[in-house]
Amino acid sequence: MEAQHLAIASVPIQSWNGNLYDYAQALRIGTIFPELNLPFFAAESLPGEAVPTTPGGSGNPIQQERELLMDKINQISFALDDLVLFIDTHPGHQEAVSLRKQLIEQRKRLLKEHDEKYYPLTKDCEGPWTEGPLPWEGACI
Amino acid sequence: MWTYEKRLQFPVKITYTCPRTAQMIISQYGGPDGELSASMRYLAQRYTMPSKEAGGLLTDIGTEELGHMEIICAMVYQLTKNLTIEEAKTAGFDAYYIDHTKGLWPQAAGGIPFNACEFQSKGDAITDLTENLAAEQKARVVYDNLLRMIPDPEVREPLKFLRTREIVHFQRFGEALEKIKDTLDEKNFYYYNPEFDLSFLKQGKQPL
Repeated sequence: MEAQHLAIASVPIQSWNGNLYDYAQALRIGTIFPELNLPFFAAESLPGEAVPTTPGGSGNPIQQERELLMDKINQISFALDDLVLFIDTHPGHQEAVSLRKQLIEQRKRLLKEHDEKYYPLTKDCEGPWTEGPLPWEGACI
Repeated sequence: MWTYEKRLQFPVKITYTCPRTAQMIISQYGGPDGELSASMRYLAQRYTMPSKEAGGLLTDIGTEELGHMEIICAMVYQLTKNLTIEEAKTAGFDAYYIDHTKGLWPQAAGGIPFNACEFQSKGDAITDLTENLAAEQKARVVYDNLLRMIPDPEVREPLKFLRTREIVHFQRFGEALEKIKDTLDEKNFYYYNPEFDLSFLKQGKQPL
């Protein structure tokens, strides 16, 4: 709806300009869309404040490798989460739908790799929940 | 049907104990504008929405909010994981400790328990979507307030992420409202309730 009317809220429909954050940055910020990144002044990093990087420098090489894969899963999955909400209000949007297909394929591959090398993340895997750390423990245990 | 995925939407790695911070953050678990309230609001409203588009969006955002609840709970858990009795006594966590020890329980920062009266499901699409626009703004302000109070980057990074999500969800609910408006008579959006007065739907514009 383009026209504005009295006595009801109006929000412009977002248009797709093809400009998206890379997926690591998107996860850190909270959206794949630069035009929806509207930060709060008090949330800006203080000078000298170290932005925590994942994975943590400590830990053994196997854990670091696992955390890198988990980071990748988090990034691709989040890009998909944000994209799906866009598609919810823009059904049939061609570019968004084709990106969705790519992300779904990448996510499937990464989840399978994680299951095979480390531990299961979904119930479509065969292993029990007791394999690997619980998510709320943080990855560094 | 829901299925669980064994990871957080945004990673949480807090390496120190701070019950005072936990006491503030817990508001986004069980407080008036918290993630539990958000999830229950959207997942309740979706059944009677007059379009698949709105019902689908409420399902996806309601589901994401469950994931946000898990992020908040993980933060509270990690901030109190190694809590000693001395810390519980001195850091404003004593009252919580008496009733819940280190267990997670949905309450507001001020101790008020989670309550369904904090949200609405009104059975009217314009009303519910307008409520959701306000809900996302209220949650954003809680994250703003937390970010002013908490200096530590390990806690700030997930809070910043969650704050951005409130803004994105506001945009999506706004778009859903526009789509509902498209199905109604622009001379008077309030002539009938598209979730109740079904006879009007047969005559006029069909919902998407």
